[in-house]
Amino acid sequence: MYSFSEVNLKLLDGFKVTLDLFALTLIFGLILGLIISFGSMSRFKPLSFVTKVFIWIIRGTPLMLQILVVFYAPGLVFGKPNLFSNAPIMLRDERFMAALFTFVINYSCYFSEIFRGGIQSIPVGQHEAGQVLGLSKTQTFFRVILLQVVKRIVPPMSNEIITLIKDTSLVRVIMVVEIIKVAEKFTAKGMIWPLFYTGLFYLVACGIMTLLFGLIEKKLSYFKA
Amino acid sequence: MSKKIIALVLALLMATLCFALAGCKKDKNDGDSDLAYIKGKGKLIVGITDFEPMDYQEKDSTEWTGFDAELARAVAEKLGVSVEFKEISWKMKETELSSKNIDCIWNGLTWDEERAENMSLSDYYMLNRQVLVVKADNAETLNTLDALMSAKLTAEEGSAGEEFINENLKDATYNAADAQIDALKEVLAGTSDACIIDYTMAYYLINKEGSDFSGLTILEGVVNTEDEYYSVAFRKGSDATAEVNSILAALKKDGTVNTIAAKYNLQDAIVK
Repeated sequence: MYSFSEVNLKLLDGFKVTLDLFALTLIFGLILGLIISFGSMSRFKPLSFVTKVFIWIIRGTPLMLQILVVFYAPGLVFGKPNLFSNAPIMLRDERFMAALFTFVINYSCYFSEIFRGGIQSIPVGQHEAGQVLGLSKTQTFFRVILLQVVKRIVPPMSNEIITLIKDTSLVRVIMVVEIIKVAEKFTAKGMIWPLFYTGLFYLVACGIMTLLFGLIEKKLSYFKA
Repeated sequence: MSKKIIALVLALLMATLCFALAGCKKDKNDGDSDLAYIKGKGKLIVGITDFEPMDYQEKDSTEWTGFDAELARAVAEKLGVSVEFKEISWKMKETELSSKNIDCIWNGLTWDEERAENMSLSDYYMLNRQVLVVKADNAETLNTLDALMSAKLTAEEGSAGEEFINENLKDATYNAADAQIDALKEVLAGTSDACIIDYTMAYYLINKEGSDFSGLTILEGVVNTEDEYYSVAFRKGSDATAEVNSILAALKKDGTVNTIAAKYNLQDAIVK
């Protein structure tokens, strides 16, 4: 049987996968989310319509189903399995890549709505002020608006990001061996406690994120009226 | 400046996403011969789950071992291809197979008619049966079908154990479990009184040294199901099955199968 420290080491291996997925989803999801939010706010109607339909589909279907579709559909529908094994930058294996792709798409849609809410909450006067000062639209956005948006969206973002840490456990449906899957393997070997013990890892990770967001909120309390 | 950075980041992101989508190989798999497809790759991708003693990893090794793993290696050697083991989620096994993420399932897969319709199953290579598992404390009270009628039962969804319950223990409270291991967990946690699962797994986990499941016991003679057999599953209509069948027959004849089985204490379960 495995000792406590051996179990910990194996679980940590799994948790690395969890954290990888989390961090990469966060990085790419935030960027893509901002782009999608521009799409949904576009004054070019066809673009905003298409974007909104896309967001509706992604937010309106279960993430687990999306993971299954992304990983299995290429082989089932097009006869081209392992689509992701040919990605130019290979992080871990093709299962991980398929999971990452799905997570980025899914979370960027949620992020985009948070961005949209944040951006639209900034009074029009700010844009006008920027214009009056001779700033271009882009300059106004990045130097005036975005700073205030970041500060306003921290609470809803922290919600979404903490959910993301725990949602990563879904990827075990396509056998990405993250921490819960590692624990389930211990169960199959006759050890049950590791499964419940994984909660501690999530708890610590979420605790750190909570503290971090508290700190960010504090730091961002400039402009305080 | 910031514009340039944004543009760069966007381009990078788009490129990554596009490549992930468009980077697929334009390999022509005409679907004529699955065997040719596998031999063409030079690699047999075997779908497995972590299931001692069939497919598992030793404590400090990433190498797959076990009866099924060794047998798969022996067969692949005769086929002239290498083996790659891929862990799959057991619930998704048919999908893994037909989407060509794996080429076969070699993981103590019980032959049944429904599976035979959806996949191409090899000849039997090992014997299996369903057994009743209860907590050792309940061994005295749950040892008749009558007693089980008023008990809470569980079995893996779609398994032969479930079928037995549906036919012989209709009045009992029945909850399907996702997997055999979950059925065992239910009994240990007391959320179910008894489960009916594969002998191979039950025997192994109950008798393993230091196992959490050692408080459970197998009750012989209460549940009698017909003998079951393990098979290897290939894609539906695959011509690889026939080839593997003849290799398996040859390996049985020259004693390889028996030698491997003896290593895992499974020699009695080999199909003669």
